[in-house]
Amino acid sequence: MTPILDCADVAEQGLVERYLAHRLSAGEREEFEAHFLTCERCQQAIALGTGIRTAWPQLRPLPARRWVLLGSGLGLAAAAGLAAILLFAPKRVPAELERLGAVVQAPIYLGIPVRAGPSGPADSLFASAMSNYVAERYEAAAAGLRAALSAGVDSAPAEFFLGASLLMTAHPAEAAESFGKVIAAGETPYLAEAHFYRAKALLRRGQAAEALADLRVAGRLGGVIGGYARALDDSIARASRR
Amino acid sequence: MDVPVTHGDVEHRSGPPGPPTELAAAEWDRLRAGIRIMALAALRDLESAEEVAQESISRVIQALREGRLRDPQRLGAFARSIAHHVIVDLLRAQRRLVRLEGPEGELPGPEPDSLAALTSAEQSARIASALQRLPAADQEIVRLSFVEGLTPQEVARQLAQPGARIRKRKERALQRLRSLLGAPEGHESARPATRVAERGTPQ
Repeated sequence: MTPILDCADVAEQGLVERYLAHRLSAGEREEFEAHFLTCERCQQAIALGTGIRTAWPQLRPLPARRWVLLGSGLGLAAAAGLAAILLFAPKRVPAELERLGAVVQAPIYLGIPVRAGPSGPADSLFASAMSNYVAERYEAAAAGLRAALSAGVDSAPAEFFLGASLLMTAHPAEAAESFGKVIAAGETPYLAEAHFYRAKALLRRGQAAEALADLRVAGRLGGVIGGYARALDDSIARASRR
Repeated sequence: MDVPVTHGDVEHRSGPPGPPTELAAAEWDRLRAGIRIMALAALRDLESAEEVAQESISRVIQALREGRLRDPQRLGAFARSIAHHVIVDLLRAQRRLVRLEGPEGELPGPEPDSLAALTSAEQSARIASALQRLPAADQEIVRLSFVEGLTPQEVARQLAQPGARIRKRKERALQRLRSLLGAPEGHESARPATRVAERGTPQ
């Protein structure tokens, strides 16, 4: 029989936080729901966590005093004001860049077959990994997509969703690497999104200049994602001026 | 004896007379609130969540009267299983209704955050104001935890700091938030209150 959770388990495993972010497996979710149905503290924690998630977009950006801007004298800031290179006194990534790099909703997978024709074992691995992705089990999705890539699946979609899974599991460096491979593959349906989400990953790592470069490419590629890219580009520029 | 079931400030008696269940009104309230959260997460609609809570509580009462809960420690899992069935039934019914009534034959699209309905605009503004008063480093821990949904270990990795330090700072940040909001003590710093199941045998 499954052991009964207590609040110490809930805090240690971040169950409230992951429940709100839809990051629990079906089993974890079942256990946690069974716990909080009779636990007022956890219900209050869920209410507070929901409030935090709802309130977060209303927060004013954090003060920019920890940011150091290198001006145009160093040849690194663009005249348009969009390409300021941001270095940060502490090694930690500034909260505002982290916030701009956040991805609340993972890129949507529409379930379109990877390629025409008969499917092989690699495609089965991809399909299985994408089932996990759709169910928001991103750790499992990433592992499955790596296996599918090793088995020779069509690399652009697999690398793209591997990058997305890594981004959703807080591995921005590896995510940026995967999106880089999609970009290196050239003209694919994933090109604009790969630039956009690599920019997100780079922001999470505090690499604002590189992120801006990606966003400008995505912006030029047009479409809906181009619009998002231009908006994010603008937000970074505004943040850099504060 | 009837089982007292409260909804908001109004107390009423539910169901036909039957044997006592030993669950206090506050415990029924807690169970109902928990089911409402669970249903809201699944259905994304407060009215449907309330409907699920009402129906589930009625079924739990009936099940307890019939002595179907063998292990009182498992009341949460028992009630959760009942609520899960009620939610699935409602979803099926909604889909049937939509198919009959809607020209597109589809359910409405999901809300961005299914539990957002738990927070009013006023509460949200108060929480934003309280968050703003946290030090930047604490804000960051709160953001990574609740917005990104990271575990304390993942936050620690992301910020390259020891896990114990992150847990302590998070606990302090949440205590400060609760204090600013006038909310009750959280569970980060204390063991849980006595479980419902440990207080009585709801048979």
